[in-house]
Amino acid sequence: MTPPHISDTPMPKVLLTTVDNVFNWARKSSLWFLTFGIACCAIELISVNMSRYDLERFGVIPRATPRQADVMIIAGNINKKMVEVTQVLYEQMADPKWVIAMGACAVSGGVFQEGYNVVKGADKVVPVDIYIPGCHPRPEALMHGFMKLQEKIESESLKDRRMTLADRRIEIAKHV
Amino acid sequence: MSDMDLNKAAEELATRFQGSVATTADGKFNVTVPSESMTEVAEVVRNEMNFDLLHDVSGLDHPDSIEIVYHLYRTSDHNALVLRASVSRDGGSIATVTPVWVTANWHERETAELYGVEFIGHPDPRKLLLADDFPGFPLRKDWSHDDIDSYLLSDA
Repeated sequence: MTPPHISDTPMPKVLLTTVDNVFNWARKSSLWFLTFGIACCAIELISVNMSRYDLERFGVIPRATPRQADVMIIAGNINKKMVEVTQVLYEQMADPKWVIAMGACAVSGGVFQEGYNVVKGADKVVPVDIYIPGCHPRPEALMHGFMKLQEKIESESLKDRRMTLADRRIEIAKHV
Repeated sequence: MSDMDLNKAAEELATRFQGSVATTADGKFNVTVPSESMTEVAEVVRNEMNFDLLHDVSGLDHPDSIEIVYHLYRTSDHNALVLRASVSRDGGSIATVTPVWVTANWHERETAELYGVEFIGHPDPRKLLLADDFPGFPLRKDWSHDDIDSYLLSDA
């Protein structure tokens, strides 16, 4: 795969581009996600990794530890006890990191929204980049979500200050 | 044992413990017993009537009481029996049946956390699924959702 926007200069063997372009190209091309299937959406998550959909051709592969992961896919409801677990896992991931809220439960609480123990959306707990609606979303929808995440990464810049969980907590506190 | 015999056994059980018998639409005998005699009732039902499987312990929220319902099964002839006992909504308690049916352990823990009933003598009276500091008893009809968001995200 060729990095985008590389200028061909008269000088041989020299390529000119921006740091942002190179970094973003590298980041979006190897989105390793955390194996973190907390509900039934994880079935689609498994499916999308298998040979029929083969997410690996986009550089998206599952990692079993948050230390090696770039993307957290929240594939289900978050309840009281999962709040802390989710945040610890999120903080264990190295920057830069992104979060995909997969399915109605992670987006808003879904059909369990009225439950006594259900957090109404993963964005109350960690900063979410991409929301994928559906119950569950089809594998194509998850792939589309990854494409959208790649677009988002392309538009980022190294100059941007990343939102920390502490910032996020302040934002959440405003809503509660 | 035929249905008739089971009916007789249920009637006997009710008479012995000053309870009552009702039959549900699916033909199950429901024996309501006083909550104070739950330990003895459980032993009689397990050892004399041979109901060896406890499917479930559930709760019902009535306006003036919490009803604990024990769903029992006899594997020898595939008959079912339901035991019911009412306790107070206000700090109600009932003896545990865990020594009689080991499976009651988690069922009672769940019933306790959801309905606010104490099972006296339970070997492990912690909450089962809910967080330790969960406010109130969520399956009671008067439990309110209103402040739950701030609780759920209290340390988020």
